[in-house]
Amino acid sequence: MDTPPDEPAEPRNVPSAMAILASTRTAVVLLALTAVASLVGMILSDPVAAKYIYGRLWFHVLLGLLGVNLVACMVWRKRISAGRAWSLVMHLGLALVLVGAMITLIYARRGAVQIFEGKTVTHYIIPGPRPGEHATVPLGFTLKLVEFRLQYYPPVDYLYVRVPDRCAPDRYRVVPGRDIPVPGTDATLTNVRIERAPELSTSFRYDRETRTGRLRVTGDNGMTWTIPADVGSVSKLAGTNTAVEILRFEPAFVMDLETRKVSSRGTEPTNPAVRVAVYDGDVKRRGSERWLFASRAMPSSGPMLHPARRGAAALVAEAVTPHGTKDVYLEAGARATCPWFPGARVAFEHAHRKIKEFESHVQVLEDGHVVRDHVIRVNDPLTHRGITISQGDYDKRGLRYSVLGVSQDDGAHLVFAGFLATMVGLLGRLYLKPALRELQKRPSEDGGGSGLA
Amino acid sequence: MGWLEVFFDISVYAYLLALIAYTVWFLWRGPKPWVSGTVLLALGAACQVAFIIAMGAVAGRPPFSNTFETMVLFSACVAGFYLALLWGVDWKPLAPGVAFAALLVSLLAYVPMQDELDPLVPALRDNLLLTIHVLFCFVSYAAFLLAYVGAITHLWKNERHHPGAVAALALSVTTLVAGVVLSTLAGTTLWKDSRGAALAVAALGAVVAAGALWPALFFGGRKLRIRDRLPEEETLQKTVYRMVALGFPFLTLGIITGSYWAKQAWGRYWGWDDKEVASLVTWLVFAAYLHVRLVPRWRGTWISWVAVAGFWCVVFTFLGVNYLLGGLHAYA
Repeated sequence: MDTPPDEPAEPRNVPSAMAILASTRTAVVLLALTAVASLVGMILSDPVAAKYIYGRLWFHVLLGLLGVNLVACMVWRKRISAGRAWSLVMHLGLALVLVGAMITLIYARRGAVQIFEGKTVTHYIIPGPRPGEHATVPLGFTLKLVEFRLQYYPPVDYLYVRVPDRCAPDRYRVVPGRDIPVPGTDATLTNVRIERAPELSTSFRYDRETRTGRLRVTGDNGMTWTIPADVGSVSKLAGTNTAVEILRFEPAFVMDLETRKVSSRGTEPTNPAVRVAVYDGDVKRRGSERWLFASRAMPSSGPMLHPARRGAAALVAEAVTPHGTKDVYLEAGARATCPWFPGARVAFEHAHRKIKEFESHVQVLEDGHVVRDHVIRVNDPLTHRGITISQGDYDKRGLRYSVLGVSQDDGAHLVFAGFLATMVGLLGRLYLKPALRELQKRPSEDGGGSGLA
Repeated sequence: MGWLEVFFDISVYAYLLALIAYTVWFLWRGPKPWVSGTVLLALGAACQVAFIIAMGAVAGRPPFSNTFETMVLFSACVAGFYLALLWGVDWKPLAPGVAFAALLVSLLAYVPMQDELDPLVPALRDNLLLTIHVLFCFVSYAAFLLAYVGAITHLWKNERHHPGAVAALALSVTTLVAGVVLSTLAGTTLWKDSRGAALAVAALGAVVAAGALWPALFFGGRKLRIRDRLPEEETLQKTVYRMVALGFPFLTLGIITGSYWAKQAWGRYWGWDDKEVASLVTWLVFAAYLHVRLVPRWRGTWISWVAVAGFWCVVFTFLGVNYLLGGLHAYA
């Protein structure tokens, strides 16, 4: 590995242009220029970089000059010794990579195809020369999507806590029975369990003698809550994250069927009704406002408070903080204020399923016969007749179709062959050559024969 | 990760104590601090290897899929390499720098540390490619870090010929880079809890201390003749070359395996993705280093500067792209 520089002194009796082209200094300058151009491109990022750097002629000329330097270096140093052969192989490999990249640039086609389940395609789409333009290219065979499916990891539950002044919420995995330290709020959730949120039904009672009303909320788990029907009041249902606000009271409810305007016939409580709204924490549940009637004759009495999330899961726990213990009740899907830390927001996500794999089961048909049957996964593309088909996108709403990437690139083989040669040359140059030199040195130092010389 | 983290915590303390022991040895010599430092560095590396193996066993996948996991691998490689290559090379005077580097990387690893081991996203679900691609890359990064430590030492050693400023500037800028990286990380995920904040302050303190310490070492070190205790210039240059010669083929292999993987997963071997370009820039800089070495007139401090620049590229490839640019490797 320890190799003092032993490159031959650069010949002087050669044409100066060749000397410049093949010189190590030129190589260093070209490497530096390519590095700087690439660095600028990286900072600009796509698509600006592609437009102004990677796709420009001057950048390709720069890479071409690097290739010329490599070839000139090989050609110029005609005397090939065993020691220099490794450098030659390495530079030849790099030249192959550049040639392969050029073939890719000029001839490769990259596009996509969208296939619905059970349907076939014979062409794929590639971007046209101008933005927004497309061209269709024949595949050379028929491709059928038998089925598109997603594989998931086992579902998990998450608690999200967003502390004020933090740009993103923190995520904690919820496992029943396992404490959840929430350090951002100096609390630990203990006695953690996941329960089914009770289905709540509500009835409105009105006492005509005292002229007071109250709501009675009953959960299907046996819990009940009684709330005074005072206009403007917001009452939390203890042990849950739900609150009910009394918006309005009409002692003699009547509605104009044309304008749907609500009013009272008088002040006597002939048909008392209250308008309520339901809150998850301090967030008003969309579409939750409704009228509740004391009269049993009215058809809408006793509405469910949870029509949209009947039987939803809820995280139930106790938050132990330096200031005491608070009950925690969070229904899945609802965002709420944090019960134990002022200003923080919390949410509970139940049965989150993370995608494990995208699978497009496809068949290749030729002359009406199935010649290939393959399940395309992200790391398992299908290659047929020089065309590589890889998993791209999919129908996120209904899994009805899959979008497959299609690439046809003859330069890739040359690039990988170049990679192989580069590695062989590099290892030979950096390790094998010095090791052989050491072997050569030792016998001569001992006064023995010349060994491998 | 629960109890697993104990392995990692022990490794951090071991690196800290190794740094202290090596610094004592550097200033006052003697076999005991040296042996203590080496044992502690080995303990730290062993704990991190155990941590990596345990993470892999618990997660059921190669534990190289995010910034935290790769940082653990990185610091383990740095310490492991140093110990493995300790014999046969005059590496001893670089020991405090290596221990400091391993400690800093480990402290930074706390920043993106996660409470749980996430399953792999579909693109990463190829255990063989994930393992070899990441291993190749991080073996090269570790070698380049050691080359960087050697290059900085070489610049320091050479201070006599370049009135002080060169080496001081190198270290100050490097410290600045580390500070920028750290504050970037702090702005994204760090300030989430009291433990994280304490660690952030500790890591930031280490960076600031480094920034203050190095100029002090440069200028105060003159009186103490610390520079005379450093290896000879030629030895240092040879050491840097050895590390670059070790890292460069691994980086090449990392790029090749990444290319092959990209062809499999995305249908093309090269797409000018930010991580790909950053790796290419790093490769070009170290290729330039290997060529600069062939030009006699450019040897000396120039070549060390190229190695320093190469390591800055490594830092940007690893962390800068992840946190500042994103791209297709955003999950890494």
